[in-house]
Amino acid sequence: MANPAENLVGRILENGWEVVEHISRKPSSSGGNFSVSYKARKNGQIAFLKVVNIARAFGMPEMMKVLEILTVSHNRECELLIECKDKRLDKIIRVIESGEIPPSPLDAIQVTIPYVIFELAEGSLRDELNYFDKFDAVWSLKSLHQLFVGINQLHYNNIVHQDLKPSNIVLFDKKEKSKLADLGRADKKGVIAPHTNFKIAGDPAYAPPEHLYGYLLADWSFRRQACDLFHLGSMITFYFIQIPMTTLLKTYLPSDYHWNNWKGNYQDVLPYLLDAFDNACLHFADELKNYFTDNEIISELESMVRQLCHPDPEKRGHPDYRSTFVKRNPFLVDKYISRLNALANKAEIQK
Amino acid sequence: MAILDDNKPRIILPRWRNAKSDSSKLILQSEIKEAGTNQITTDIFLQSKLEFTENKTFSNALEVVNSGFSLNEEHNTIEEAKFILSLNKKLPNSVKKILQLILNDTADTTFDKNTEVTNPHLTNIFKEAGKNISEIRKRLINFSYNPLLWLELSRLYSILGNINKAESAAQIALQLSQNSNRLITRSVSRFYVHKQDFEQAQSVIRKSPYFLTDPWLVAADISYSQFLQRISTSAKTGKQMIESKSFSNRDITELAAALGTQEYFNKSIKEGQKYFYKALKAPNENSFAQVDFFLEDFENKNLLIENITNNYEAQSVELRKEKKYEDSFNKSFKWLIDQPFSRRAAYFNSYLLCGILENFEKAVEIGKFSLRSNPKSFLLNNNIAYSYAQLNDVKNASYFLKRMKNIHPISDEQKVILLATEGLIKFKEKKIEEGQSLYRRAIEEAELQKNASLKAQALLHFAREEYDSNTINKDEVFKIISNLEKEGLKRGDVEIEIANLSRILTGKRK
Repeated sequence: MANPAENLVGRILENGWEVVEHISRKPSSSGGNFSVSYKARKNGQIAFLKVVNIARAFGMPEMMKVLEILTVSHNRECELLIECKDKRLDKIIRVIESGEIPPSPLDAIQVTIPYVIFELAEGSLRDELNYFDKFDAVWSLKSLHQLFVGINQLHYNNIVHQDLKPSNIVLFDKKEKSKLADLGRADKKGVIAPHTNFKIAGDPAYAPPEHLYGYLLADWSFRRQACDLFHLGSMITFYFIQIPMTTLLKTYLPSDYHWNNWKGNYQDVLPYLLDAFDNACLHFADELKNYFTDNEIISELESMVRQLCHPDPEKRGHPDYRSTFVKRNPFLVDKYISRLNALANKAEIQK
Repeated sequence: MAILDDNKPRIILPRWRNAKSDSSKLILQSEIKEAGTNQITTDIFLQSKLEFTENKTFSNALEVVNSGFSLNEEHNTIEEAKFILSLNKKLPNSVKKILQLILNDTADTTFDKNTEVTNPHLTNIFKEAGKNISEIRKRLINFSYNPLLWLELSRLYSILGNINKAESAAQIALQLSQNSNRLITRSVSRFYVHKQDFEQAQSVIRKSPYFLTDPWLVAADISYSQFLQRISTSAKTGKQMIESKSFSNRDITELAAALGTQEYFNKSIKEGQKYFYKALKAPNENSFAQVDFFLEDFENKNLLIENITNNYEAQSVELRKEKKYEDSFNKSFKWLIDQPFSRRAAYFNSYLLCGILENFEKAVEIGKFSLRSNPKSFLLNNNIAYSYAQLNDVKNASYFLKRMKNIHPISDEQKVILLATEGLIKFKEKKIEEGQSLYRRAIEEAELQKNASLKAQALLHFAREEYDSNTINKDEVFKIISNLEKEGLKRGDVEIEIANLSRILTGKRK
């Protein structure tokens, strides 16, 4: 039976947007993905259309629960996107419109399809890796700087992203601008979403180690903002060596201590994670020598990764904000923003 | 004369090995939690696989590799790994390393062995320790938060006998782990045992937030109470832990052995046996050696003795009981390499070599090795002095005798030994009268102490030197031996010394 959410090409939405092209993305066979992507056009402007594939939930086990999760998740994401738009958070992907597509008499399944229209990106960081051979270190620092600004904008508004990964970093203006996309797993302090209590809210392959071992601190900041910080550090490694910190940790962690195999508590495995982390950071610093001749840049990037990805979430973040004498949010990233900006400028001069 | 300090009953102490050794891993990993608790969904990984199938690009392949590798799905990423390599792109080393791990399926090549002492040769152990200390210190400059590195640093300093530095490093490891890591807590407490500070050893255990909920910590606490000859306040909790059946047999093996020892000290033999049998349900080498010390025989003893990893202590003890001394030494040497700063291992090896096998060159070599981490050991200094004297190296023997004299305080028994060893050295210096006088004083002192065994040993050593100096003849020596046999003293160390002397008398000197 044809699923209406997957057959929207040619359809004109009530606000004048015409669905022009399906963007290929295979739905997961195990049920993780309930969205379908298109390009839409209006007055010559091309945008990205994301529709919720509600019909896919029909016939699934616990259908009502799945529908509830889909509905609440979509509504929460829309609310957050609109909040970001209203507050002019310029490093977050801009939502253009959202609404619902009423069922067409021709549809085999009569179902209303919720949608969101975003500005269309030129690609994501993930696609950029296709040009890896001519990867530009200065560009990477600039892009990282914008990424940190994006997370800072969210955190300032008590929002956490929780799913920061290369495919969610989108590029605009001839790849000069980087923005954060996909707030589907984002969380706002005090607002309950279906994924609020998930052990791992985002992609497990990028998750911080404490989440992988099921160690969740009660405090929202330590559980959620600390996760974003880990992702930021992880993206620093990804930009330069194409490996996120989660994978790097695994490289140096003996298999018995791996998150899938470990049966003990987090405190017991932590020393081994710290050892693997230490090795991972040394390795990262060593590889940075391929990109920079300036030891100061290498050492600053290494120490940023060490602070942002510390396996103990209670020790994560900038040391100035973790002082016991000054009661401040330890997960502020403003200091990293100014440092990345300075490093990008310095690297550009040295280029 | 050579002495063996095994009169004291064995007390089960936490072992301290490299934190990355398999034995440490077993202690650390509890079996309380159900397997698979951390199983992580692979939906997104499967999705990235589908994307690669549809669109074979470098970035899609790398996404699969990254995702699969971190989620333990390496076996499902081989196609993508090969694809990346086929592109002949210039890759970062980290990517190359991961591809190599995937394609060779060498899961544990990740294991960082650079801090592990692997060379069994004695002098190389010190060289390795020194080299590793320097490497660890370099690493700590960049990242000082790694408690395992500090713990290993402390272990290496302990091997080299630098107690002050070992203590500082142990304290840092403890603080970094917030005394919340079982392995670190036990290892640091073991350091204080090495330092002979049992109060502090117990305090480290008791300050752990997991004390009284972790059987491994309770086991250590009970043992320290035994050392301090105090009533254990945690024994009741330990018994409840065993009765609760909430812990795996592996997790309670040392606890059961500690409780069994306590019951034996309290003369509750049956109760003690009950705990020892519990300890044997999933023993490690430490709990097995403990049970083996108290129980003469038990079910599956021979099977267990061979199959338990690193079971060198029990193996060497058993072989010595069977009078297979060379074989016993082969095992006890491994025991010493496994636990380089352990006094028990050092004493066992030292006595075996100089008191039984009469391999004095090796006794000196191993004695000096053990002396590095136990410089003030009366026993080790004595056995080296004794061995040098037997090698007729009076100069070195006198040096170690001087070291013995500087050790304070010494026990009554040690006073006898000091006199006898000094007497021996005088005999070797051809100062026969002085030697005779010292030996006589040693015998009188042992008599005053009513220590028949010690007196017998001093007498036999005296007879040996007299015979070697031709001041008494063979018959007189046989008469001394015969008298001792009549007094029923031909057992244990005395029996060994009689055998040694008999060999000399019959011209079968080693």
